[in-house]
Amino acid sequence: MDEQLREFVKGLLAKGDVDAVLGLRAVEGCVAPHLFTSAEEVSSLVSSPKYPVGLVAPMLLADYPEAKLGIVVRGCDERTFVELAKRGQVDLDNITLIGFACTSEDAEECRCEQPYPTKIDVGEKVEGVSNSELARIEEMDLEDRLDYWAYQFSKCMKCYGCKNACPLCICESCILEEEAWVKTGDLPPEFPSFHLIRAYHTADRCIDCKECEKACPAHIPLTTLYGMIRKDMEELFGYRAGEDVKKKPPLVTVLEDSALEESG
Amino acid sequence: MKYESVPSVCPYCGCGCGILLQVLDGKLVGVLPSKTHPINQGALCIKGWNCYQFVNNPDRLTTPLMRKNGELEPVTWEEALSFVADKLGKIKGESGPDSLAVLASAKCTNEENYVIQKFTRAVLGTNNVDHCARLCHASTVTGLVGSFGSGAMTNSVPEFLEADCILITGSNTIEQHPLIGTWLMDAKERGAKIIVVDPREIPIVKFADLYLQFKPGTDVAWLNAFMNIIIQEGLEDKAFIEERTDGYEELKKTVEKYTPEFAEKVSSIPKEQLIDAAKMFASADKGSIIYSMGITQHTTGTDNVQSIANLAMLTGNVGRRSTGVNPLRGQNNVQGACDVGGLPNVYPGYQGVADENNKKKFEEAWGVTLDDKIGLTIVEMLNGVDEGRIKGLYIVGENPMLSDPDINHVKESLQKLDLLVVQDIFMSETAELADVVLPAASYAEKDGTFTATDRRVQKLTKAIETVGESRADWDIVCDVAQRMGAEGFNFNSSSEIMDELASVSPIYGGMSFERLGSNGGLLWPCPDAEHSGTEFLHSGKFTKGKGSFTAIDFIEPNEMPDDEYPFILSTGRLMFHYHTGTMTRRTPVLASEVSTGSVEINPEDAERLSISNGEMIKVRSRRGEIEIQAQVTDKIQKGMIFIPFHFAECAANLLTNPALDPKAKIPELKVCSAQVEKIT
Repeated sequence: MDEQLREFVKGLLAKGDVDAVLGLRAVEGCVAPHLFTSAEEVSSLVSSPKYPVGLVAPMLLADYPEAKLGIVVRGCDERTFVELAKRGQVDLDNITLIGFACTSEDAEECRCEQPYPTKIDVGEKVEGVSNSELARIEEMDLEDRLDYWAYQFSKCMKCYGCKNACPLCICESCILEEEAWVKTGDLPPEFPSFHLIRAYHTADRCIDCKECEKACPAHIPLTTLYGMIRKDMEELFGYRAGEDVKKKPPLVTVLEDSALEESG
Repeated sequence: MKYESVPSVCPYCGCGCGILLQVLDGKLVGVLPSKTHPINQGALCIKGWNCYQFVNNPDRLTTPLMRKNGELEPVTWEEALSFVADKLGKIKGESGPDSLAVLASAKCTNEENYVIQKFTRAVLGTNNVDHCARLCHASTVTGLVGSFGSGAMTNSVPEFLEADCILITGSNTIEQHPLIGTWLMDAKERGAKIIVVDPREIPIVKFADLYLQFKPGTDVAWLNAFMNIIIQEGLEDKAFIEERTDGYEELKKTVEKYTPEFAEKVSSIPKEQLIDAAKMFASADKGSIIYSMGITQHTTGTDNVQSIANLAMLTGNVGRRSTGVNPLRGQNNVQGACDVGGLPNVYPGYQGVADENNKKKFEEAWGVTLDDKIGLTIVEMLNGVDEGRIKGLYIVGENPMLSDPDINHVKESLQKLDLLVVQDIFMSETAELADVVLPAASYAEKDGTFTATDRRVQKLTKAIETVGESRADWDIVCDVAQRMGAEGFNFNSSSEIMDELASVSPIYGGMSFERLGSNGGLLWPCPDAEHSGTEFLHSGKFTKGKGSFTAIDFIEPNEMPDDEYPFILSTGRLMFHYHTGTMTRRTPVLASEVSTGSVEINPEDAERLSISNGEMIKVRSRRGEIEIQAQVTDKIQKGMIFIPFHFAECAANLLTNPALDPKAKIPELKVCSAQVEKIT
């Protein structure tokens, strides 16, 4: 599959459809995001393990708004770019998404419901996997559920990895770092404020890419919590983040004119 | 448009997490955790996530500085280095090689430390080279070399996952080695029993099956009681003792005195808890022991370490997967700085300087005549400075003005020097006293290797150009050496230095930059190019042959509470900061989590003294006094206070006791007596 991906990327570069492609490079056993600018470089391009390319691309586009950038995307990455576009972080017309379908092993590992992008350039669509952990927790009575989460969050080391790895945590300053909301310097951070604030802040943008959970040193099942909120978003607002670029996020107010003045 | 992720290794603790430096058009813009790395597997702690921030801090030293008319002024490299070389040569000529001393650095690469110790030995002509390992794990090295023949962590980090019982003592693992902490949480979820024995109720206690709180400085007493109980219960590993060890009968006789009742009286651990914990540990098939500075930083540090070694051997928990004696090293390269000879008694690879064959070997390798006299340790060096025996001190990347005990004394001493050279990335408290300050490159600006706590040698790759005129530490030291007329310092790269290191140090013998790769490296010993490295030591046989039991009696700490100074003061670190704060206090996220120091005090003590939470109070000892915020918490026992040593404005080390362990020369940073007062 990686070979097909390389051929596809080489083709795009050769045709001049893109100036450079953001993907993953394998160097001396380590795999990491990289910007490929020549066909020769592409021999080190690989597809796994996935990284949050949605974190990297806005940074590149901020410095090079005119660049013709290709980006290798899995289903979750594509949904990330849809949400980033809604929030003015990228312009989908200016980037070329190279769709890569996950394998069934990938889907299983991520418990991913939709392990493919809408446009597949490389790979074949496989069936999604539902989050069985979510169903299990929903069956618990409320007290057990509270105990479960209290234990999970007692493992938190306040690394902010969930926030740092999230391609959709785009606020310039984060209220999780503000003393008024979460007491600083405490370990573990206050339960449940730290985690519920984050959960609500990502409610209408979380596309379930699992990057927060993969970055969590304590293996807290964050996307199970967020999954419950995603479900609420669907039931209350009929909204699924990452699907339709034209559909406005229900928790965001878009102003026609300039921002409101803060009143004294 | 150029963007790449450069694989590197976190510059903070000894976990050795793999990081990806995010470089956009030559600028360091962020860090991502490496997902392929065997230790951190895509996660990092808060320090790791932010370890790029200090690199481009405007406070970085960017030009060499020399003291002129009392002030440090910018000068050229030419002027600075020729002055240093001339002055070192002059002092050596007039007062002899032993009037010079060098502090190597646990923050520098293996290649740099190799060059630093080679420079000290081959050019200055003295073995006076030491570094901050003296202040953290010197007693581990002396203790475990004595017991097992090797002073390093016996097993590797991923093995914790499969342990049946993990005994953690004197290691605040979650705060100080967060990513190792996660392996322990995972082990717990897998079914491992966790026993924590610690004077403070640290975060890992939440995950413990048994928590034993004890009075600081009574380690040997409760460890001997553990062994007494195990022998009484017949839970010792008779076959292991018989086949693999010496000295058991004497140990048995000594620990007989340490009944649970006696140990309860000394350590304040209830005897039932001692019995339960000892039985739990001894009943496990794979028992692993983790310790850190709570064990080592005592005048009985070597005794404490050897008592741990005794317990591991008694229960047959050495030389097998997921067992062992696992001292967690606190700095990214403190293991490596020791491995490559940044110590006054050994050449690279722990080859003793007093041994005639080793001396000959290194004389041939380096083409010089060497001294077989063991050099001075850190505190001895500073005493030597104080007494006028040491006239020139060259410090690379260390900050004794905050990290060493009894800072008032350190300052008085350093001011007496004829020459103080400090090579660092920031103007540290120590650099402010220097005659010459040399700006060094940070970890992101150079190639090299770091050795993590589990003997894991890993390569870091230069990600960005050096900041200002700064230069890599190895490059600066080689330049000084060559200016002093030395040969054997014309290296073109770190890789060449590694090749020389591998040729003289058998434990690194099979390593090269090419073999190390960028994804987890190799664990020493790795004696030849075909060897795949060693996950756990002492398999089948100890490094020294048979393991040695050491019969050890309990000795009280050097300074005990009395009427004038009724509290036991212990020092340590916090999750959000690192050592003397030069890097973390320049990192906004970390500085806003915790902006200054505080002293932990038990609510009953606080109430008795009418001290409220957050109040500024005075803490005094026989060495000095500080003003610091009170943090009233029941996580600390009555009669004890705790102060982190990161903060210069309320420096814990103004108070600490420089009394040394007689064998390891490590100061007793974990226990001294102190008084707490309201500020009136």
